[in-house]
Amino acid sequence: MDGERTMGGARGEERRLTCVLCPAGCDLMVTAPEVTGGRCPKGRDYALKELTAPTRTLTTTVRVEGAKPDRLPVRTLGEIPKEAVRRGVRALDAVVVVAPVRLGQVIVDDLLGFGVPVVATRDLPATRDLPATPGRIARDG
Amino acid sequence: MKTHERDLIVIGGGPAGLAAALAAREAGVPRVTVVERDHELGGILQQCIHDGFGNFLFRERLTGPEYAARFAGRIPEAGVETVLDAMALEVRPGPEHEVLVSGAESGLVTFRAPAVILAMGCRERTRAQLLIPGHRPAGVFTAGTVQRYVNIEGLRPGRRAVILGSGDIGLIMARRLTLEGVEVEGVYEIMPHPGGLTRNIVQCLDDYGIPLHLSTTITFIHGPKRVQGVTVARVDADRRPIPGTERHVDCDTVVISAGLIPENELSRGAGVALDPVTRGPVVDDRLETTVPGLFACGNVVHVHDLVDYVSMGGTIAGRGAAEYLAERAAGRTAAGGAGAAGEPVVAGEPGAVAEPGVVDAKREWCPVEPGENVAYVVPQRIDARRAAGRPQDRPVQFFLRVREPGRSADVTMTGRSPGGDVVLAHRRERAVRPPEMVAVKVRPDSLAPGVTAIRADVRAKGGDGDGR
Repeated sequence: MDGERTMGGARGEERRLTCVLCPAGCDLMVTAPEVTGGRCPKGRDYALKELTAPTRTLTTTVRVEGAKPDRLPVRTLGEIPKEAVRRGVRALDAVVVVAPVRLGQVIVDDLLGFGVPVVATRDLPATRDLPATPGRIARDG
Repeated sequence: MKTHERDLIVIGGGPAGLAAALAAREAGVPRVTVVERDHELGGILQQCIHDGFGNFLFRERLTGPEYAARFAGRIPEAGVETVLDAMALEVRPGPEHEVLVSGAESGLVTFRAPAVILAMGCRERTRAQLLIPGHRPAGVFTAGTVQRYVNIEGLRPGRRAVILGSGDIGLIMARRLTLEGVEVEGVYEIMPHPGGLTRNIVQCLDDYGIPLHLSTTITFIHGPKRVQGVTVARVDADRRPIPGTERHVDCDTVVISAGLIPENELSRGAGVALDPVTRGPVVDDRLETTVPGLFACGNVVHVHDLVDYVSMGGTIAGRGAAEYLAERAAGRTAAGGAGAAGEPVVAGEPGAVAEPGVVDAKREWCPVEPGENVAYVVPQRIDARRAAGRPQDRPVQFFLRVREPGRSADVTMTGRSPGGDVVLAHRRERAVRPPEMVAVKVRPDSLAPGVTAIRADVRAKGGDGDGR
């Protein structure tokens, strides 16, 4: 072994892919439109899309005012073209939201015109709304 | 110092502790308290902003914070008390266990409860533990620290990074750093196979053209004040650097993703027997440790690759603690002591260490041993009679890790019984790899014929389970 990992090779028309939809990580053999090797039917759709128009979910953070720490994790609600992920992250660099934020709240309606919204993936209370005594122990009894 | 009486104390409010607390409440345990050192629940999931969590439990690809919210959101309505900003300092075993807690609000307090669940998670292996020669400059971080800097604090740790080790967090951070404008020069893995899940190699490295160098490691970190570069070298089969293969790589940041270690300082102090292979407590079918009434779940027990499995373990421990408390109330405990209605139970010698397989009080333990190509199996021992008596929808959940990758592997759990060996469970895995845990369930009724010992074997057709 030369220490460098070889890319799962493309031999002639046959392509080998690893499905990334779940931790099983099935090895898929693709000779379009035939796909074999998947443990579930999702692998076929994934493989054909991966070879024609690959898409990914984008996750990153955006800046928040009025909360500490001041980053809010967000995701695309759906997938965008794989080649647009970097551009998407850069576009979200400019976004600033104001706390409080609720999980699922729409942060951007349509990222880069792909028709996919960006949503918050957690609740983030405004700093002033934080309970003054987090974790007070209840009275016994 | 104030002492608070509870039925169950859960130490740690991450995925294991939350699932355990919820399961215990569902099983009828009245006063359940979670002690969490952070200012909020969720544990490390809060900084894991990428998606891919919850595939098995929710059939969705959630982000870490979303997954955490699925459990943390149920905590108030379930009537679980949470003590945040509070650190458990010591667990003192006894007829009633005591947990010493230092809290931001509460000060130093003691919680007393007959059952305690240890759910402290794990810690990352640091540079000091890897013994990497070189200078001691700034710019050497663990992957989890970088994850916190980037995702929570919004800080960029450097401009050009190399990643040492191909654990999942390192792979995830390779992608994350790339997206945040940090150049990731490459990932260096000392082993001949990757440490993380295959899908993370694909979606974090291949997608971004980041090279993975196997059988290669960092042999020197150059400083002196800030990292200025590293020397990398190929290693032989014994992981020794091969002279003449050294190469200099310019970088200002080294990210270490070289393994996780169960955090068991509290367990050790409580006298719980630890397994030298998993580095976590020896546990049984309900995730009870060798100290009666002390339970453990999640990455405290052994490092899991999927949070879904961590939550499943939490549920087992929560139900287990409920079962223990019910036995105790009925006067039937492992110690066989009195225990009825508030009467103190003698739970064995505090800190007593029992080995798997020995007769512990009145309980006969059925040892669970790793066989062919199995590095370890958890739980390490079960009470086969007790497990056989549970309903069929509560199987004994085993997790094992293989030593060597292989394809078309037969995973078999074999039980020794008076009538000969019986196959308790069998499944065929297409591929087994050391980083990917194998989960096997054994049905209660299969344990009925008086199983006295269990062995786990993984027999592969051979080959390289790694050829993605």
